[in-house]
Amino acid sequence: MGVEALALQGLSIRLGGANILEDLSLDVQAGSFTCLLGPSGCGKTTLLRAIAGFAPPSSGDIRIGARSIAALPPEKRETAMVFQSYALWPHMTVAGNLTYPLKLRGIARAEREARAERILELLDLPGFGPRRVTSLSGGQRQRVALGRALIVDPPILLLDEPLSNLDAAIRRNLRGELRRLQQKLGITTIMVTHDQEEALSMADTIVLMRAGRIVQVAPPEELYSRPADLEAGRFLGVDNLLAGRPEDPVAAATIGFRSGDARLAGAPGTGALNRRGRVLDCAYAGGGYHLQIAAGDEVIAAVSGLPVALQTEVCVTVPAAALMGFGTDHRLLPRETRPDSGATARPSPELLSH
Amino acid sequence: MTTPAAFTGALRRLPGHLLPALMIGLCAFAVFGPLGNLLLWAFAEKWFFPARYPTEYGFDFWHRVFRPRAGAWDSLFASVWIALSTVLLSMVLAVPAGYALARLALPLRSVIMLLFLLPQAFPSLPIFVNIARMFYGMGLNGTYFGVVLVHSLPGLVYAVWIATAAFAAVDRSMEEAARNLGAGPLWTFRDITLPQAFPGLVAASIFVFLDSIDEFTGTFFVGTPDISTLPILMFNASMGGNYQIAAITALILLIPSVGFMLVIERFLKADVLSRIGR
Repeated sequence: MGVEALALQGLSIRLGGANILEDLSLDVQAGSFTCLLGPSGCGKTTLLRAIAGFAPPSSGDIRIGARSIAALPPEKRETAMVFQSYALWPHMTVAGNLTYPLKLRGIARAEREARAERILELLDLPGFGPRRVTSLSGGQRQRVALGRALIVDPPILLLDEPLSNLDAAIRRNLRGELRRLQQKLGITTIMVTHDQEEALSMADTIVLMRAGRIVQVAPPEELYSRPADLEAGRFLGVDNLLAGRPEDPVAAATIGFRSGDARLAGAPGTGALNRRGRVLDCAYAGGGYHLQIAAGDEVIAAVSGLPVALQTEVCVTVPAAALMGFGTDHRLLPRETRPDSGATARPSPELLSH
Repeated sequence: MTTPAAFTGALRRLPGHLLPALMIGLCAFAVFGPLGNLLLWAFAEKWFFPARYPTEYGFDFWHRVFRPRAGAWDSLFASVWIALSTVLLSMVLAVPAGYALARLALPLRSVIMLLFLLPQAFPSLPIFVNIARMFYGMGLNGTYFGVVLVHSLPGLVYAVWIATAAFAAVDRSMEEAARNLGAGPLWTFRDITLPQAFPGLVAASIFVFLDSIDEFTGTFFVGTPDISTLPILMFNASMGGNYQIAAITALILLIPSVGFMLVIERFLKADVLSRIGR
């Protein structure tokens, strides 16, 4: 079938007066691995089902390559989906599951069996063909479901939280395996997940969604270091959101950073965000200590290699590179550090206009 | 030697053992008593008041029942033939209806399922009398088709309820997976949905079959005198005071029932039944 791009143009889905998806536009590059990331209920699974043809759009278009598939029934779309529950057919064997899509396409039995053998080799399940689906472990079922989707050589592979039903250790293994397989086959892949770690480690591009809208489309590194707004930041683990002060290196209404970037220092660092406070809590968290520090009426989360006694006066310092400035409208401000981080510097007019 | 204390202790525990035993005994008597009586009558050659048990046993009445002229064979075939036709008609209607109901939103489904129970809620006699009147006008009285229609009335209730449960038990994502991989709706139904609902559908067929083979009232009003099933034959024999013939007919009636009960055991999964009405 070859590698093809996917495009959404102004896609909306309304259900009973509620907007499930609102005016989504997205270009997915051919051969890329894209993750739809967001909290539950954000519409990411609905978007995937809309691409597969199980959720009819109320307006907008879906294109694979040059052809529109928005009006086609699911069976004509050639989008192979791996379901969260795997949806293997329990009344068929592993080989039966794998070859059914080929049977539908009128491929001869010998060819069907050869291709099932090949895909089982590819998935590291040789000789599993005659087994019953119900006798497989979760990870094996997941791989058979993936194989069943891949056997038809589809232009687009859709994965609906494929790893969420597995143990943590198997999940980490399969993450790498899935990513390597995708790169080997070069198939355009869209995966739904609510696990940011999974998205960050697997995707070429992450589509961050919230309440039926796309918030941000960015490569993992950029999404992690430059989340589009406060809420996106919070979702991506920015656990400190402080009111900006004039002496801070970043001029913003709210300044965000991760606790891992906050250090205790003897003296305020230059060109960094500094706050003085009193240690409220110190808890061991494996490899380090999590601190809660009261600074004025704000509480800062920070990490420390050594335990700190409660009520100790400390200085928290965060390097400017780890800071994210958010405007009064909660949106991320363009990165710009003040030339001199002195108290006299003012926010530029351009930043204030946000 | 038992001490007095141990003796009174055992006495106090006695009701705890006695009561369940008594209950089981009563249940067994309620079930097997009539059946035992039936067996006695089937092989009784002579049994007159005031004798407590038959005075003479033999197979004489069995010969009489299976004489070509007696009509037992004809009634047996008519019964089985009507039951099979009823199963066919009920399932042809229940499979699409059950599938549609299983995929329906819940409140609406419950209402329709309850509607299906309504014919069972009314006393069957007035219903059958009126059906007989209507069928008379349509020329369906005394025809196999008419009897099959009447048997399908209660048959459909079982069939639709159990078929709905069977289809509801099929995970929807399995159907979606088939659609997604290139199967049209009909292929999906044939290759994915139907095979998985099959045990439940077999169970439904068995219930319809057993209900039909046992059915008396409807057959009596719509079928007689042209069509005689085993229950009708039994009724006539008992009314004529011919208990031996009635007993033997009843035993014959047990054959298909017991046979299908054995099939039930194989096909009926508890998890299918538990989904009824869900």
